[in-house]
Amino acid sequence: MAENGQPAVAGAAREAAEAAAAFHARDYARACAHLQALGSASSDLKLRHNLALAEYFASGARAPGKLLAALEGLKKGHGEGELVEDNSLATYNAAVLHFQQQRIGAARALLGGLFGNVEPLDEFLAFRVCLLLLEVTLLQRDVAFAAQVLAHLDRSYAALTRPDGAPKLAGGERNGAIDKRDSGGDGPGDGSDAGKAGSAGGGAGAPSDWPNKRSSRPSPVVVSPAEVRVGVHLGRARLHLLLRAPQPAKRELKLALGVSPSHPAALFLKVQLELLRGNGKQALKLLAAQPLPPSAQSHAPPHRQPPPLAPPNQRALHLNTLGCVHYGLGKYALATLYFARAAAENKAAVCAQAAAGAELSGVDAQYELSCNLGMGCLHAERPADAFALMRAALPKLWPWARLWLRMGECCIALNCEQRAAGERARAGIAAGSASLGGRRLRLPSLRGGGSGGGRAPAATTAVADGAGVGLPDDARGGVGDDAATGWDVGVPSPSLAFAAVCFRNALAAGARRAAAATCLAGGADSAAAAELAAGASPALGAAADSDSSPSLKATSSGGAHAGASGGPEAAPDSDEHAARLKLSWVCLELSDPLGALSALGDLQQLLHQPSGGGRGALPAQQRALALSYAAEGLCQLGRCAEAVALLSPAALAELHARAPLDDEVALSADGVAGGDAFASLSAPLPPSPPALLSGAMRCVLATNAAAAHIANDDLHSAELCCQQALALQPRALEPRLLLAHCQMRTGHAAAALALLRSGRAS
Amino acid sequence: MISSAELTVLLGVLKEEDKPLEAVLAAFNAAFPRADRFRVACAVCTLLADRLVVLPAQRVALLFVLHEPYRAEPPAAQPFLPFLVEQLGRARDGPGARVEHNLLCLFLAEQPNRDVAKRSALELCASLAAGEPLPVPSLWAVQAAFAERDQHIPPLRRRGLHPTLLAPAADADEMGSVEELAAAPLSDDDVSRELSLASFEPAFARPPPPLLPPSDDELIWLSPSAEGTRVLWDESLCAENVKAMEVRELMSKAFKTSLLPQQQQQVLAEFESDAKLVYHCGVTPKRLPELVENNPVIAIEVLLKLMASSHITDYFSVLVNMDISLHSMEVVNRLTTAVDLPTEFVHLYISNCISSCENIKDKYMQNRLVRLVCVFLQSLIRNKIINVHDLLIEVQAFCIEFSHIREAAGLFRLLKTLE
Repeated sequence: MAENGQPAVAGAAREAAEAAAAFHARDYARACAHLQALGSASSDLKLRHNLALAEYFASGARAPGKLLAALEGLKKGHGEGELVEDNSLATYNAAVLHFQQQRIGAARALLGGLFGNVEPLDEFLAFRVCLLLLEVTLLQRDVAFAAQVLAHLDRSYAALTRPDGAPKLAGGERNGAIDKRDSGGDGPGDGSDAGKAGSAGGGAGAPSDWPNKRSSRPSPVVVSPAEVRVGVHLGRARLHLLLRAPQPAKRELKLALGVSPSHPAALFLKVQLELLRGNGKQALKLLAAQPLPPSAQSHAPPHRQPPPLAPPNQRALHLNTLGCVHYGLGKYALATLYFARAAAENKAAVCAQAAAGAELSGVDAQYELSCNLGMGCLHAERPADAFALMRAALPKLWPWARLWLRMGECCIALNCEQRAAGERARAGIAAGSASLGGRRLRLPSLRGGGSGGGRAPAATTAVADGAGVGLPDDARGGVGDDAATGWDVGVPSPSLAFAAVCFRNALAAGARRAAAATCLAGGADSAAAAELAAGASPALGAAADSDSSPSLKATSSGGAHAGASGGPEAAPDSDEHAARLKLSWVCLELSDPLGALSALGDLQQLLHQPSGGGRGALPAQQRALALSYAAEGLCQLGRCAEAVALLSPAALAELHARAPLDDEVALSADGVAGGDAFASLSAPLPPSPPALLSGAMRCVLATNAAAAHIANDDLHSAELCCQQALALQPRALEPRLLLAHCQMRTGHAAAALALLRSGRAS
Repeated sequence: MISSAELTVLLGVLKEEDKPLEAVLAAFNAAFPRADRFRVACAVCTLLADRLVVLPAQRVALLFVLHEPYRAEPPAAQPFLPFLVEQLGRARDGPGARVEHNLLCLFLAEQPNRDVAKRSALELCASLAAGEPLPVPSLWAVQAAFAERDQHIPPLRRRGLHPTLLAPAADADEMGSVEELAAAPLSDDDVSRELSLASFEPAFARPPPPLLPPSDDELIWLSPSAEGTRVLWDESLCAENVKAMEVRELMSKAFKTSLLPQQQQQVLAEFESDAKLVYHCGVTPKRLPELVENNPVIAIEVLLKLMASSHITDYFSVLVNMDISLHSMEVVNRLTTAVDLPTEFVHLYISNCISSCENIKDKYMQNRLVRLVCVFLQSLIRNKIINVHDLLIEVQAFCIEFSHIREAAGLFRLLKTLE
């Protein structure tokens, strides 16, 4: 048997090598033929795996679902006593397919499973798993988990490359493919290099690049140290950029470029870094220095072809980065323009890839671009477009709290637009009354417009029309089918009811992330993760001359970096506070005072903390709004005395005293202080002023104190509060109406009429 | 509330003031579909309250339209009863006040006058204006029902006022009329709002919360990765390593019988050369006891290699619960000297050893096991693997119980010296 078996094994190996070579040469039909020649071993999971891959590409990569089903079948066929690798590569590939299909959650679930049981995995496959998981977690902005993955990568890399490792296994051959990989290669699978290596058993043995890779078993995949180093350095750089820590990000970027000077991500990360450092102009210069790659639709001459490492949608990435820079510089309309162009380029690139029957590896960024475009539209005062775009990004980015928060803001902004239209209509009514000779004055309802309805506002027609700058078709899809509302049935419309859903989702997403971070803090990698999350580079803090150090050696100099801890740690808190505040406003609009009070939750505890002092403290304006909303909620629940106490002169004096003086300065500079407080009720939302406790806000508080007093039947105090509010904002309508109400209640209708007429005259 | 066209239709109905009121009501019902009647009736309330309709006959007709359709209902179910009561309070001091007062008294009386419907508005006006003011009927039951209802209304809404202010200098009859309103160049929406029932309620100012400040970190910065994300070809197809296969075969044998020293060395050498081989040689927590009993040296090496595994606690759990034997103690002893085992695991293992000694029936085997346990404990103590004070009472009791065995006495003496 041994005599017969040896040639048979050699023949099978030769057949497998030829199949691999054909696969990497993109001759998928030949790869299938070679694999089918090995058909006798049909129970071999590896053979079935590779055959499924070859057939997938042979059919033009048009049926990822079929490949996914085949891979799932391989996983189910895994018996208890069989090797773990037999399905771990299938699991990895399934995760890749999910990733390509923008199903990030599914990809992460599979990769997380592999990462949770990473020890049995082949080291090279483990690197691949970790690098993809890193990509996924960074996309999801899960900083804590990304730090954990990076810590593992760091440890594994050091273990395989440290000079004091055990001697190499005899029989280990040098894998020339790794050297070639450093210079590029864009074939499917592991690259053509790997295919060539496969002829000798793939990664069998211990490549000299990995002196401590001691394995007599062949590796299913190949990876080079440079690849891992670049991946880790870039991952760390991106993580630091997410943490807004420019110094360590710069260092990691430099280290990555030391290993791979022409890495296509370098430009984009450099631009991001420059913007983070406040050098917007420098960021634009960097982008301008790099010519815009040719469009996927155009046939560029060979010398204009992008470098081999460049992704097919590099033009879209370039435009997106331009948009991000302009957004960072406050030029939202321009940013929107670039994002829209990026979305169009992305779509063209995806179509080109699909037509070529190639994988969508890292090409399709439609959800991300849609999200960015939505953010731009929101700040460019196009909330209807923004809502449609953000909604289109939800299938992929739903775990992101900020997206939900912004969607909720879109709904509020649209509601405000609708209310502004209502205000104009009310002006028409005043004219109508005048047409009766001015003898009859019909007082407006103070809570006008019935804003709590679930109908989409008129502004959504802009979305239905696709008006504005280059709204992608994906965002338009399904919109406009319902002529009455402009929204498709079953598709969330930007109503206040949906705003409440958005804010609740934002809070839930934030809570999920906090829980994950807490779990991680108790994990084995917590020290490394925490160190990194604090801005330090625990083990990848290699010297600048990284070429001279084969391993990513550890350093003890990883102190906390400026800016790494303040901003990002405060951000989730501020997001949560903002979400709670906005949710309470929405609940009040929806006549749900209990929901409003519940939404404010522990925000009410923060009301008594010093303004601006300490982590999580509420800015003055948010504090004032929270007080106001809480008081209104209490009043609507019949707890008028509590509302009066909440807005009592003592409480308001305390609030005013705590408001920082610089807020006032900022307010005056913004021109908000001198304006009409109630203009904001009808006007679109102000462009996010800093924490303010302006005269306008004080007027609001005094007005609301008056309303609480009226509800408590204390008309004298109410009149005093109204006068105080009118002293602060003489043109304000609400305190004037409340004062008129008090006078009408006390039987002074003539005085009320005179008051209102004098207000109209002024 | 209603459109200009509906208002015109309503005016047409009011013109039939010389017909019986039941005919007016029939005309009203014919002019407006059932679904619209309540809405139009609400507008009628505003027309009456704001004195946009001033002619007594028209006001009588409108009051009848409000009252008659719901007359048979209990007071709590009559939607316009509160309005009628309110109007009764107001009717004392206006033009045509007596007519209106007396009519409302008739409507609100406990025994309503059924002849009203048969008479025309003009006739009613004439007779009611000529008579004395009727006494106001008892309304306490109605007002009690209102008070009960008001408790469920939010405080601010409860304090709503009628929203119309009239110019004091103007005569009440000059406040404008419904004809004027219908003729005014107003849109349907304007007319609708003008005639709505909404009251003038005090309300809180509720400025919307501002947008969160824009931040560049809320954008998604896209950057390509060198490799992208691609499905990977399995390069290890048909490249099975012969040595690894041999090890697997030897391991399957090792679960059943002791390997020859040469075979053991081969397995250990392969484990040394391939750190991951231990995960793929068929060892599972379930099969660990077989390996421990047959090849403790290999079991030790396997466990040492698996220390980094996330499943090592499963192996420990099996090891601590398996039957106590020389081999299992040897494995645990070697592990304790090689790595830092969890303290709980060591303590639990010692407790199991002691209870095994106590429970064994065969005296010979018991003596043998006690001696083994004593030597094992002495080794742990001497190597400072355990803190003896954590288990002092238990171990001392064990020594006393088996004090007739030399090794137990030796262990007892060791404990005493440590005290």
